Amino acid sequence: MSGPQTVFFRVGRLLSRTLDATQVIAAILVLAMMLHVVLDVILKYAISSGFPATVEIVSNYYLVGLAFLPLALAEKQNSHISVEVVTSILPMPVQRALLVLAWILSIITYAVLAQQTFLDALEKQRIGAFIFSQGVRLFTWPCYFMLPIGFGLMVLALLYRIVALVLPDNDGLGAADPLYTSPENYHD
Amino acid sequence: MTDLMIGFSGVAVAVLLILARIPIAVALASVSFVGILILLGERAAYGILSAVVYDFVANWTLTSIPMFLLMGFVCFHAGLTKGLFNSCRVWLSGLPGGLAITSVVGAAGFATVTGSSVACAAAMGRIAVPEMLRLGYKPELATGCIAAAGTIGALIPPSILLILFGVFTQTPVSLLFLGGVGAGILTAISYIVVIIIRVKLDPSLAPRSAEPITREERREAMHETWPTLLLIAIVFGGLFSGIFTATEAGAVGAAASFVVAAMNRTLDRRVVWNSIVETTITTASIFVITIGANLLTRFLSLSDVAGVLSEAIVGFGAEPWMLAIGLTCLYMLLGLILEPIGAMLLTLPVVLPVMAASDASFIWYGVLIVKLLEMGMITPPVGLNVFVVKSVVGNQATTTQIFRGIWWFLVVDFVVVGLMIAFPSLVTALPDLLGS
Repeated sequence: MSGPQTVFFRVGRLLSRTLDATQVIAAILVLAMMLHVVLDVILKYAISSGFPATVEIVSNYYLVGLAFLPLALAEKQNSHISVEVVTSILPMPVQRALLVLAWILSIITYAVLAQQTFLDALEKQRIGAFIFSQGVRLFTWPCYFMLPIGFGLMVLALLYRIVALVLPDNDGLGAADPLYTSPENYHD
Repeated sequence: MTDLMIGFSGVAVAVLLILARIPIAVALASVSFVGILILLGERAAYGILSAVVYDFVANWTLTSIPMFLLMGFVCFHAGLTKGLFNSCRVWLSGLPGGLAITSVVGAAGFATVTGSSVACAAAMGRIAVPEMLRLGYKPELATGCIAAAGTIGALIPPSILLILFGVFTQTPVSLLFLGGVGAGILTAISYIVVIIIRVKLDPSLAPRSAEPITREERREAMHETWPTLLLIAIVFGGLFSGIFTATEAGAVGAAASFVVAAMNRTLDRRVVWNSIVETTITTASIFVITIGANLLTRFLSLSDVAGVLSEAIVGFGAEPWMLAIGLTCLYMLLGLILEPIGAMLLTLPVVLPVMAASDASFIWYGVLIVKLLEMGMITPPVGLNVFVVKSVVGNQATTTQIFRGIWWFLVVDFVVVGLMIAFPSLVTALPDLLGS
């Protein structure tokens, strides 16, 4: 059996939709960040007092979400930064073996991060973590949950990609070719 | 094994993993975690994860990175560079190699709205290379000058690399930005001089433009550029007069770039969505490496590698200029294979304590390191700016031709680095003047 009927394909499509959802959330966070800071600047100079706790809201809510939620999305687009010059001259089977090694090491690393940040988030929730700024009590514990969500999705995406290497016809995630980085994904 | 040996082995393993194409973030984080685990045990290792990951990212200065990214992507996708290029052209096309000079000045202009040299090279390459080839410029010059001029994008503020340097070394980003202005202008001028000399020596590289420029064209070019100039004035004026923090300047700049694009009638759904998507993906892939680098910093200070290195430098009595030459060799080597963000975040945990032990300013070191990293963007075999220009021009030039067009610019880059080392005030004069 192959194609859209298989469970593996459906799981991939579900994962892909979830990643699309994180993209929409991240997009909202970017725009919210921009508008919030701009309004704060305008208010600061119009009535010499900005929004209370702008710095804390922007860096805890928007930035943390923006930094961690799209991790798996970047993986899907093959946008995480790695060095290809040495491996690109090796024979294809070696390159593939190194790729699988990279994915396994990534899965372990992100799984450890997901687990630890999840425990931290539970602890922050238990104590009801907040910060106090300009007379405003701002609960920060919900922000801590964005880390395990981002890292967890990353683990799922990587696991899926490993299996998809064996079942390429049933790939429902549709991630970019892992052995090729397109120029749009260059960073400096 | 002593702690120190564990530390140094950790660095070696991290480099090996990176060369084996393990994502840089994963290489740094996993080695540091295991290293701390061996040094201090399980509890400490997990404890450092809890302490570092969230608190490092929830940072107001780092917020400026997505904002400046957004501003740059909007200007790029909405084609705001075209106006800049056209108006520079009106004034500069009479010079020998006029269009190549126009591209350098245009890149310096676009550098004021983007923090990335890749974006700068792609934006200028898209407009300028076809135009130069149409007028009979040799492909080596037409593409080489764009790949080189792109590097100005990360020197003239905003600059993602300078923001990262600022956050890691706790140096004020606005002062680093002011330092970047000097290095960026110096680089642009030296590229212009190179182009004039080359074209004087070999006029066939760039035939003189036979098309006279009418008064009408001048007026139209000005009309096209003033919104972009206004955008630059708002961001720079606000940042350097101390009205805005870096984050505020980025947010206001991003919002203003949407407005300017709308006024130019180049803002559509595709531009908005692509700009936002690229901002989110780039932010995530940069931030995850900063977390790895942060863990590496902890690991190297716990294993005392950082302390031993800085003591060695102090004991040796190294002057800042000697260190700067050492840094030049280090980053030229790394630049051959690593891209700048990875190279900087991999080395800062080692280099930072060494810099702190010498008595030169972090502003000078920061700008110098970014300049060196940007030279790595055009050196073979991995010259990302060259690859970007290649992807933009398609079959009109080969990668080898572009690399061949680079080396004059690379030579003059070494002169620029020499000047920055010999006369630190080229970098620090502006921050000293305006920063106090």
